[in-house]
Amino acid sequence: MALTFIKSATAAGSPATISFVDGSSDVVFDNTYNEYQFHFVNIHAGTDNAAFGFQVNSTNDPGGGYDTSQISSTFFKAEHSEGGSGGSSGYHTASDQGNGVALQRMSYSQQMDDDEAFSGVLTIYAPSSSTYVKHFVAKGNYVHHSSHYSQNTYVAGYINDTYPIDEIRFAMDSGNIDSGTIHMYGVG
Amino acid sequence: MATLAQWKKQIKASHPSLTKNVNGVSSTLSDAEYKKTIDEWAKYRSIKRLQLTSKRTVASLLTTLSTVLRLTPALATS
Repeated sequence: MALTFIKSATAAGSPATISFVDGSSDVVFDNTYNEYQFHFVNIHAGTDNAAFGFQVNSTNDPGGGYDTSQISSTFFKAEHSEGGSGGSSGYHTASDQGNGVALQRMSYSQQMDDDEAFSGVLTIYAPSSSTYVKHFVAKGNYVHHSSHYSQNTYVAGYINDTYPIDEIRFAMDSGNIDSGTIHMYGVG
Repeated sequence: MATLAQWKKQIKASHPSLTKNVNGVSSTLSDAEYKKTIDEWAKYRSIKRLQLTSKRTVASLLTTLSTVLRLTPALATS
């Protein structure tokens, strides 16, 4: 399957959020594709110890506050420090959700040194389905706030909403997105 | 420890206005969006500070317990 480029958004001016909304500025987020990918390149936090994640709006809440489509998710991580210590893996309970509407983390406790950021990919399957909940899988890597750990994250779950999802918003849980780029692709 | 109101005040001082990027186009947050964002950021900072303090307290208690057990080995085996 091929990736079709849809849109890029750069965190110029350090925005609080970066969104992709179906229907304007050449953005399609509907049944044109059965799968969508968002590629994150060097998402740098404006505040130390912040987490990067996403929330969505469905067609039942157009232009809403990204607080009605519930998410159930899991969050696994593997980590190893620059100093060579701490090689381990585990589940991070503070970053999962059970029908929650908070920012779904793809990282947590990011370091904000000038050379440290988050990169990864989020895939959302069949967002326009009006039958099924919407599954997503994200994997990424970033520098953890504590002792410069390389932290590899595996996040998956579903948006527990049978209305089509056509708006997605990315943000840090606290503070601006200082810099970075998000590329949106359709798959198929 | 800072209260939620103190966190909000501090964040507002460092972020007197905020922008958003929608489909690559930048704009300033509305008053309602600004207030909601500041509220959320303050909440997360407050929770994280609490978690950090709890973690340090637990680490300190474990260190104390370890010292006590080292000094009184009979307790460790009883």
